[in-house]
Amino acid sequence: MGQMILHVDDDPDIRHAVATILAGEGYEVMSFTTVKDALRAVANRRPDLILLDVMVEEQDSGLAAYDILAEKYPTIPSVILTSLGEMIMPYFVDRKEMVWILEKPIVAERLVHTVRSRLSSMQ
Amino acid sequence: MENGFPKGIASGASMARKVFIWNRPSTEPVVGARDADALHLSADVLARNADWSIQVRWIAGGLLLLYYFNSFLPPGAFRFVGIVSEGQWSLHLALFLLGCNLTFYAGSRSRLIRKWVRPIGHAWFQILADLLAITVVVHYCGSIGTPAPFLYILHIALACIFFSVQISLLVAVLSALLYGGCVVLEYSGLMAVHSVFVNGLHADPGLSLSFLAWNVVSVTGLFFLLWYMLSHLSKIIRVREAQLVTTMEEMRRLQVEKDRYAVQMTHQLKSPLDAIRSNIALVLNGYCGAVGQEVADMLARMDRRAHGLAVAVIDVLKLSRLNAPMNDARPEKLPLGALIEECIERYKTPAEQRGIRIEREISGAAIVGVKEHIDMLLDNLISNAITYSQSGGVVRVRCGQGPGGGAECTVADSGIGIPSEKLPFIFDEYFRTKEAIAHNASSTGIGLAIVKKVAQTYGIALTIDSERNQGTSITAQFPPPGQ
Repeated sequence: MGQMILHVDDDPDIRHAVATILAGEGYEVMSFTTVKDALRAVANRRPDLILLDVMVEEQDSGLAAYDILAEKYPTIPSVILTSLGEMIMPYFVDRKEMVWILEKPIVAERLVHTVRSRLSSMQ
Repeated sequence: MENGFPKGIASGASMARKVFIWNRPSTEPVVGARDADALHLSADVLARNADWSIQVRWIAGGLLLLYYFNSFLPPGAFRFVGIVSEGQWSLHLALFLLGCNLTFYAGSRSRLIRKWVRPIGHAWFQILADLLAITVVVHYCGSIGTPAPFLYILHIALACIFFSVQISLLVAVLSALLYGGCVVLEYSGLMAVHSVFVNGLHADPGLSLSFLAWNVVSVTGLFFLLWYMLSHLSKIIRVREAQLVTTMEEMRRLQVEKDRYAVQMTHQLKSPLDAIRSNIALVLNGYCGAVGQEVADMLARMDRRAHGLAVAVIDVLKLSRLNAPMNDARPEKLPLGALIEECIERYKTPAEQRGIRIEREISGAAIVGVKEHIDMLLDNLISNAITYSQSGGVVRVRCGQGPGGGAECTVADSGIGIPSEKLPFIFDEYFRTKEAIAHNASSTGIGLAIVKKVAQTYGIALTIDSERNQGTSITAQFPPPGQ
């Protein structure tokens, strides 16, 4: 079985696009619409990578989820998905660690390249 | 349904209910009339005043020492100006003041003392020490017929400026009691009467009780008159200060709220566009089966328009952030050359896709600014040059020291150019020339408005040279880092 990627996004089209592209590359994708469901899933089975929409549900949920995941599961790499591009940077300006950000829309080449790079950065 | 209502309401069954009542915004004044009397200046201002009064006390101590050393001169050395010196009171008082100053100085720097004694308490200790010292000066200089009692007025005035109406009244009352008490003790015989003046009134045995009483009443009356005038004037100023502070805090809160709203709106507007473009990308990349060329072209056109709209939405957020920064990012020294290289790297791929070559001539130059803002300026200048170049063209970027001592950056293209009659308007929001729209239908007209906002913020001068169909050159002259 390929590596498992957990994706949290409240937009069905984005979930569909990510699942379609990554499944085609041999990854197993588990998609969730809420942070709560995603955290429950992570507790049951550790994914190899988390793709997290920073504006899922409401503005602060995604950022809070990012912090919870970084604290509870520091060995699981994550990538922020955002519609805001570099305008999301002020929310991460005080972070000491590198934050991986992928701007929407979801384009196959960029998504696959980012996922592969992020996974290999943890090895 | 039952009688036109959902079942449950008609039958009286219980349903979830919540009542919402929103209060109208309050029109009450920020500071009420009674609260205004209790206002005093902020702890920070009181702390700085404490330092200033320590400095004044050093000078006062020095003058008292000088007066003491005067006694070492031949007796009567200063009689020609009508002054005599007697006793060691000035030495003792100078040492008292100097000792107080060292205590107050250490207290203002000690974390432990600052933890237990608030700035207003610190100020009170100083006032009491000063009032005692002034009383000693008044006693030895002469309590009647000399200007010494007016020394109390200095502290009453300072109390009116820095403290509340009630506290400044207390200082006026203390001053009146100390002065009155000094006169009563002297002229009842319990304390000797002194004067620094050769022909001081203390030498006159015929001073009547009524004369003394009028003297005390008029001096203390002046204390309270001064207190009344100054304290009420100061109250007006402090109320204004309190209103300004509240307004500033409210503005900061509103700025943060405004940015949150702008981010939310941007997300709400851009998310559907991202979903549309993601689906178009899936189709164009063959994830939904083979697609004919005509369909692919149509999808590509749709994607371009959606991209333009998405860029416009983000540009509006950028402009909103420039107008009302969400955080207190401070300007810092930045290497302009390095920022330009990063920007060129960001636009390398879109340039290569259109066969546009980017030539650069970059030398070290430092500027002062917030990186996010300077990036916005450079992004717009360089992306515009690429966007409005013809395919296969050249964009030249030059950076170095300018003639005025500040950094200078020029971005030049050989693209569509700007008609001369349109040049005055190019920095207006949403302004686009016909040529720009024809060349790039998805242009938003916000990019150069962002450049203008950044230029205004940092005092950057922009020079545009352009000719239709020949190209455009924009030079940004930054002020020297020290300015």
